[in-house]
Amino acid sequence: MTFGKAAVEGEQQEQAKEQKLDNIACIKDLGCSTITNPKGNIHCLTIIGQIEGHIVLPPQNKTTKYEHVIPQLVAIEENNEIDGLLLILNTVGGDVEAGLAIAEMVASMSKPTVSLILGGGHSIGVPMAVSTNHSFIAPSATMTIHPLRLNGLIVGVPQTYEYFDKMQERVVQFVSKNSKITKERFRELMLKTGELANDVGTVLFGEEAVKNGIIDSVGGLSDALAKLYELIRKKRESITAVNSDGGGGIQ
Amino acid sequence: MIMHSIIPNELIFGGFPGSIENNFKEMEYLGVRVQVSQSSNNTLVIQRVISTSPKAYLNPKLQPGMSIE
Repeated sequence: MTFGKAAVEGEQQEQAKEQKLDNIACIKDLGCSTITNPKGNIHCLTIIGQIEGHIVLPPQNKTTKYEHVIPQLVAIEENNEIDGLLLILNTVGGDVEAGLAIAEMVASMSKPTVSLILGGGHSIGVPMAVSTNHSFIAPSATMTIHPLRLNGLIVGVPQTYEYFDKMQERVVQFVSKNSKITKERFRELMLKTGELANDVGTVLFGEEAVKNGIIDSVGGLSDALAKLYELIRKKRESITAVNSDGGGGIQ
Repeated sequence: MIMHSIIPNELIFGGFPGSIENNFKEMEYLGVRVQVSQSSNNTLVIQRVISTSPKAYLNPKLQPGMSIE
């Protein structure tokens, strides 16, 4: 008699089917992400166009607003269901304070983070690109490294230059701290002449950005995802190792 | 504010009539933050999804251009 076994199997199948339908309904109705990927759940943050900070930019600009990005980063760090963050950049730069704020937030996250530059990661996009655990750049993507500019009234005194230099130092320090490039080399790239038509600075292609130590590797979406899943796996392993250690040892 | 961008300031701020009035507004829809605009027949149309969850972008109800009842 196979009646009983078949009935149990049938019930199990029914349950699995119901679960699947529940999951689909959840995505459709609530947009929630409760379905777990065994490799880890990732969230993706796109930094596009201008970085908009303290001043609302005119509507012809496509912007990434920091009041959107910062709470999202907090949510990603806090949510137990999210294991890692993929940061996708295609930005022309923008507000220094907002850009550095986002970069500092990403750099201080405990969850694995990977960035991928597609198209361009210019100006203040550079600190954001290096803020992650590992950074990728598409071979055709470029990074423009150039000095800061100030808009508005400028007083023609040596102190103005000092102030500029100080503001620039924040970017230089962040980049050298979070990547393999030295401060001196970064400043050199920033002030190079003969590369840009109406400015000093350097345009780096994907390969060159890696050669200069700003970005870790050249790659695309699959490389970035593979690296992120690898970092998630390593983090999980280290947590398991600590837990199986007994947890009572001197830390 | 210091702008650090490859786009010249005159392009960022130029041609700006002094008003940023547009009919975009932000709201929560199906648990996801979206930017919507008011269409002529008084329905809201999704312009942009503001979320980090990749699944939000796969939801057909949240595609830009979809109207919200």
